[in-house]
Amino acid sequence: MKKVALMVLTGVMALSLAACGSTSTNNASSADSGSSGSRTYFINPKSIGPAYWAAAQKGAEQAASDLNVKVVYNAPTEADSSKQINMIQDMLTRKVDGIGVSPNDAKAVGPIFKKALGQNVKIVTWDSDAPDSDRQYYVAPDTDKAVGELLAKTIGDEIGGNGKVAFMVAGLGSENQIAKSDAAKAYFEANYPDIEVVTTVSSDDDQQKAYANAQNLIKTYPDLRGIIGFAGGEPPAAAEVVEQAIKDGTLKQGQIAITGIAVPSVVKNYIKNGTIKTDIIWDPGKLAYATVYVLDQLAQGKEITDGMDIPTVGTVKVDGQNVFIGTLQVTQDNVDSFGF
Amino acid sequence: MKRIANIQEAPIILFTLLVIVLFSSLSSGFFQADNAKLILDQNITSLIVAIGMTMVILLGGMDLSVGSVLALTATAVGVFLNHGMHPWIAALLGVCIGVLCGAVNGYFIAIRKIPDIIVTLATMYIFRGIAVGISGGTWMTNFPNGFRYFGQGELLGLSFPLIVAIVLIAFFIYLMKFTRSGRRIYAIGGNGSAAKLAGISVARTKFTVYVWSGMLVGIAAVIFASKVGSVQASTAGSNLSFEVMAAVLIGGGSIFGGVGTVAGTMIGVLFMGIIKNGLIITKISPFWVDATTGFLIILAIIINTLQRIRQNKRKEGDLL
Amino acid sequence: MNVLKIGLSFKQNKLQVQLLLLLFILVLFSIISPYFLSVTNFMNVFNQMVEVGLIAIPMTMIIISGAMDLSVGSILGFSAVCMGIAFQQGLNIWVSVFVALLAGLLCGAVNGYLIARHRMQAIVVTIGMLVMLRGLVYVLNEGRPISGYPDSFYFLGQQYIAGIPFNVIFLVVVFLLANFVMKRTRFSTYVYGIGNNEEAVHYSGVSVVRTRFILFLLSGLFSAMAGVFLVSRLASAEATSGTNIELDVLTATLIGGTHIFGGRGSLSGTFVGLLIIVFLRNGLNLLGVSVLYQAVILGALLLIAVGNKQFNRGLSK
Repeated sequence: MKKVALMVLTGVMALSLAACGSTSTNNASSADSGSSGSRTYFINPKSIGPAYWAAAQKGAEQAASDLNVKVVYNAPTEADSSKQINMIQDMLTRKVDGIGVSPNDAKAVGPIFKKALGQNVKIVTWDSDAPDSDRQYYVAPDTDKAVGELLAKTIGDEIGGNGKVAFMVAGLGSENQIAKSDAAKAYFEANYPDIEVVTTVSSDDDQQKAYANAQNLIKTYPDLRGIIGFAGGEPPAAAEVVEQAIKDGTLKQGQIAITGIAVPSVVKNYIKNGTIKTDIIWDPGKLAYATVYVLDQLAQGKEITDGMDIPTVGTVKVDGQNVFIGTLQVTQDNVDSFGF
Repeated sequence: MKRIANIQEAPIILFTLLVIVLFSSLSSGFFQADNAKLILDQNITSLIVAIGMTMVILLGGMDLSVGSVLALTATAVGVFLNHGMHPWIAALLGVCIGVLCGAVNGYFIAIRKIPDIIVTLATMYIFRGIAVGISGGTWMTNFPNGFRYFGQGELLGLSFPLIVAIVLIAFFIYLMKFTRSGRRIYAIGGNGSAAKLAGISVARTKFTVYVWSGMLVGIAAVIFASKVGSVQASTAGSNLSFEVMAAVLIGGGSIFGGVGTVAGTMIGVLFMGIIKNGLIITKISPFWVDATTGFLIILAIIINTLQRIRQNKRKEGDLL
Repeated sequence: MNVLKIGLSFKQNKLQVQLLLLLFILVLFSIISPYFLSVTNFMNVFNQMVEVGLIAIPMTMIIISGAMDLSVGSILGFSAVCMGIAFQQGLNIWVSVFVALLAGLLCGAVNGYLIARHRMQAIVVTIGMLVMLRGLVYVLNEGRPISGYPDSFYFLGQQYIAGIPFNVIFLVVVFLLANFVMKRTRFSTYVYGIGNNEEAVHYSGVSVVRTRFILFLLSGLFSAMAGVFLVSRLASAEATSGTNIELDVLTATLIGGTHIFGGRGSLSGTFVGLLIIVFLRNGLNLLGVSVLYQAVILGALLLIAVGNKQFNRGLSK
């Protein structure tokens, strides 16, 4: 008897949670739920949890209600490609009209994209690309190379093209991190031969580890001049450590320049304090919005053209199969103007 | 001399000293007062969490949920602060949430008698889910300046979190060594049924230990949030449980319970902290850091086991 | 109540709860999702559970023997990358697969040597291996994924035979074999015996060391096999593959009714446990439930499915 009661309890829980989940996606998809069943897209970030992807979710849901389509936004809790692919597979079973994927591993999504193409499902990659796959378009702020070079240029200008620079990444094995840091390194070699990249430390997406890494960097390289953080968690950790060191008197104000990719709301205080002068970002919401928009255009058989105007996102650059929405530079002057 | 060799922690202390000598000879920056301070500073969270884990492991259990409790508490504190709550009240409420999580674990383990690992594996999923749920997927950040005191403040020239840690460590060493409740934990871990026959309430002791553990994680979480300055609910403390468990066992604890000390655990935590710090300071290639860390953990445990075998041989003959 | 009776009722009742739960999940999702109940979906689900399933076999045995192996995910990643590198060095793909299995066996042997021969605590040794092997993966390939295998290799993870994925057939065959071993052979008596009373087994002249060693060797081998199948399914060997898989495996094993203190449990239970978690995940995915709620549901399920009377004996063990 007790067991039966337990079973019922589980069932009720699962149901109610399931209901929560599906109603929230319904609410998000459109006010007019009657016609929203027409087209469904699965938007798949690398993982669920980080602020960056949460901001993107808002954009995807905004697009869903503007375009009157249904969007399911989901991913595993960790950036793991086998779990991600399992989830894409599940969504193909659900017969979505298009998938927007930010692949954790560019090669691993090859087979599943092939399968999706066979089912006539539109495929767009966003934020990270899978170049040699069957994806139709890649939506990004810019190429990894361009972003890496922009970061390198920013720090190079700030420290006057001379000194030691350290890289902080979220994962040594993550492809977009490798591409960006390689580009930055190459840019230094070509344009700032006096800048030496001393090391690359990885936080494995763990905020405390990023913080400890930054502490150890400052300790190990007393003459360090710059830090580039290649993922959302790294610049705030570096800035926090540098601010504390300045307060303790072990570092001089302005000795270490920090730049990187970070959501403005997270680094707002550091930018206002001047610890971070320039932060590179793009609006993840607009990126997701553009992804849904491109998918919807494809599903309706419309063309994607260079210079086309996407509502709320603006004019985009289309280069072959790449759609670029452009990057933003966050500085003291404009830090309060971002809503994410 | 013989007495020193018989101290349970002797091998791991020796090994730690060896590692320190090694790092010092490789890099002049390692053996310095401010680097020692840095290592302590980086491991405060683990030190505090490890006290609770030591007690749990002494009972023959394990707590896989500490990382999730840390994330949940830190996130909750962040939410309170962002709603303009006074830092001290927010911190206090945070510790209360830690205690509550500990009580949930304790209830299922001690009163419903479900094995530790199952309960904490389950609550690991549940607390993490709740943490990310209340965070709304965003980071907890931009804490008010008053809150920074918990992680970065100074009292009598020493850092505030360090004082908290030292007080807690001293208190729990005293508790475990000299009080009846402390000895009860050893008794239950050493031989549960005998302890029961001796009239010790196993359930009550277990429950209390999990509540203590929850409280300690709560305190650690407040310090963590204040020190790091930003909390990401989905990843905060994700490797904490394994790391702290390894520290307890390196420090001489036994997964079967009954053996281990708080002091030994603290050495275990510092050992891991020294490795992590030293490997970066000696400028080893970043790709080698994890591999070397794992290798040193295994080495430490080998040394530990050798010591135990040596002791056992003397006591019980050749059975083990 | 006497122990024997509880043991018996445990054997009979325990799996019933799991089977009921599985049935309940299947019916529930069939009703609420129109996409759930279909052959393709079921085949997908089976296809996805192969890696976890392969590792769960030795894990169940190891837990029954009263130990635990937390390093399986890292062994998986390590052998996958070893295979990738061997292939990059120009070796034949099947020779590379052999290299992967060898790497897994080697890792298992190290675990087994330290744990069985030197009586070290399984949990710490395997945590150490978890950190070290994952680190070695980065040392080996600097974190860059390795891909570009010949088409014949993808047979393992992507081909269907008579509508059933090949890797699923493989998993089922291996499961049946292992189940036979755990039911009918003397080896299983030793495994259960060590879990129940190690000393008694020792005194009855059975080599505890050898049995333990074999178990960890198996664990290494099966983790490597899972690695090979994963690479074949995803067409890429990456440094992060297999991260946290030990938690999935552990959850499946425990939901399947294997007793964490050893001595009791069954492979059939693990198989049902496995089905429960993969179908639950699949169904919730189909409904578009966020993974955050999925984690909470999984946790609650674990407490409910496992947390009933059988453990009330508590410390009287």
